Amino acid sequence: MTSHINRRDFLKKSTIAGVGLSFGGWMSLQPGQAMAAAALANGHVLKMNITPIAIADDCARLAIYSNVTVKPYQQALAQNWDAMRIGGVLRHGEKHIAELLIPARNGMKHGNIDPKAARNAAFASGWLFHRAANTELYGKTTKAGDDAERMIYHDVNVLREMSLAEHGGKMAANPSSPTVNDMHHLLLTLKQRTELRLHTFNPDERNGATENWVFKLGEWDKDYRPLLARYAEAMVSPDSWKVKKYLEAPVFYDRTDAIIRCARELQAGLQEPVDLWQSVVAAKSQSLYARALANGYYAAAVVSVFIAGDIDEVMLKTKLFSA
Amino acid sequence: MSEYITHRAVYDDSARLALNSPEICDAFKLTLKKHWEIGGLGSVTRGGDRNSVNLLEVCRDNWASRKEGDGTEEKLAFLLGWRCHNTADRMWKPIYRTLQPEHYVEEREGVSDIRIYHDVIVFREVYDHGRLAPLTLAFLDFQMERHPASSAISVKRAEDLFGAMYQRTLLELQSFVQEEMEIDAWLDWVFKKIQPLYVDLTAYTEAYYNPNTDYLRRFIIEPNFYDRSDAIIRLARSIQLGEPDVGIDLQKALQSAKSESQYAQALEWGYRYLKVSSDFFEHKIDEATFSRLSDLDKPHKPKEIMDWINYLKEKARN
Repeated sequence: MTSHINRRDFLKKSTIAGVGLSFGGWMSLQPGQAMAAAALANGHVLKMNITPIAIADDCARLAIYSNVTVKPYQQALAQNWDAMRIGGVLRHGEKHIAELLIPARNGMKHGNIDPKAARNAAFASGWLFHRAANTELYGKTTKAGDDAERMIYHDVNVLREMSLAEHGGKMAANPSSPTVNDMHHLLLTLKQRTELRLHTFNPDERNGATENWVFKLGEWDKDYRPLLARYAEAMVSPDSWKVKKYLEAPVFYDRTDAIIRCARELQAGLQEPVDLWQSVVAAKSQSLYARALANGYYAAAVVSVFIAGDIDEVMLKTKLFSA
Repeated sequence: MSEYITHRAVYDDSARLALNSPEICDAFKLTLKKHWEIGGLGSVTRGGDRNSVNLLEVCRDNWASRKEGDGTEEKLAFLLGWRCHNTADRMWKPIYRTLQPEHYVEEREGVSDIRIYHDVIVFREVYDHGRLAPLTLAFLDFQMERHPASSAISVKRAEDLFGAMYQRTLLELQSFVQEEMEIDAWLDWVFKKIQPLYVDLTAYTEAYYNPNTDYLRRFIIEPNFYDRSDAIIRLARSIQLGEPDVGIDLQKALQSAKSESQYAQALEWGYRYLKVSSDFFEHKIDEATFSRLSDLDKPHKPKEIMDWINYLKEKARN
């Protein structure tokens, strides 16, 4: 983080061929597709995994503390965290991204982004962050069952690294301490606590959909319990072959990568503005997680210059979606 | 609204009574035994009154020809939990407003204290501080600190990320997600259907470990929220522990529950709703009778209670 660039510098640098990252040529992988493809061999479906959410959180934190992004955009992200996180639910985001961001851009012209425009900008950004994550991590996978195992091992790795960041790197030194059953029990209890936090389920009552919703919720619940057992096993008693295949060989995560170090510092509460350009450029040849963060951060920077009025809609789409 | 633990307990106990009763049809008993946890999901789902008739009819129509995994049994199990949810709502929504009107008059954010205290007492009494399923010992701990696996990860971070995943999954289960529509309209659905994780667990931990004695007096003791000596409660507990007390007559216990603790009344109510559902399922009563006996046309918050709250609001404004 030795090089400090601002918004104008970013505009110049990001147009130089060869300097930018692999944003061009993104596969048209939708955030929902990776999870839909992931079915465990025994029929259980992994609906979603936590790694893309963690990456979205990291990207948003990087964008908020960046000196490339404008303050109103930073505020939009900070004040609409849930909307940002849920952005991955959007299908065909390429079609909607400009439409979702234009109200925030118009608000900037008049000095005020209204709450709905800010919410939509955060939501659109969340879609871009999820897209960055899923494209980098799951775009080249082959088999559905393989994908689910990959997701679980990714999640466990990310959770461990984020836990370490919050505890000064001191915990998890003895992962064999709890049993697999203990960990499974803990994860099931987390599920119950989440149900308490959301208070009651809100059923789908549109156009006679309730009956099917009831069935789907029950099926999901039945699948989720054994799925958590797989998480517990990967946490407490990881399979060395899977660790090598899913984490080490593809270099999924490297805590020494500059952009990851920065993300973990921000997660742990670093409040100082940071510049990320060197970290972003370096990430191109670093771990998958670092590349996903760089992709997401770049997208946030592009969104910010669009909202600030520095680029038009055509350029927005070119920078986000073209080779 | 009544709360998660209380909702769940009313289902668990009412369904236990149903399983042990000769008045309840075999189809209900079979589905409860096979799909107890799905009933638990129904017990913490809103909107039951609007969907009960339809769902019961579908399950009844398909029952004889059902196949394993076609969803008939699962939907019926969910419906039984759903009926119990409406019991708890009807029982306690008026009581919350009567005993802690200030929360509703001042339109305070978050969960009212009385709801949390009810849950904490039920956690203690029905689930023996989390020793009895489906709840767990560290359930109300701060970051589950007593749990043997809690030191291996950041519980706070895991809860946050898995919670977000759960939230996203619930949204993905909604049919609108796949539909083509204007993006504005679609987004309106997203933010209408997203389920915020708004209940503060630390308030539960505080109420459990360091209860406010004034709240205990106002919400639990004086209004007789729970009395473990009530016959219906003793019967439910004995079934829960695997040894039904044959000395307690269900009908007598149901009758006496009407003048006993609030929780006993809720169990009588929950059992009654299941009995009415069973009668409808077996064609012993028609739809109109089922609807009337299930109170489907009655609001959970009676008009006189809401009028009183509105009167207090008006008074506070002036």
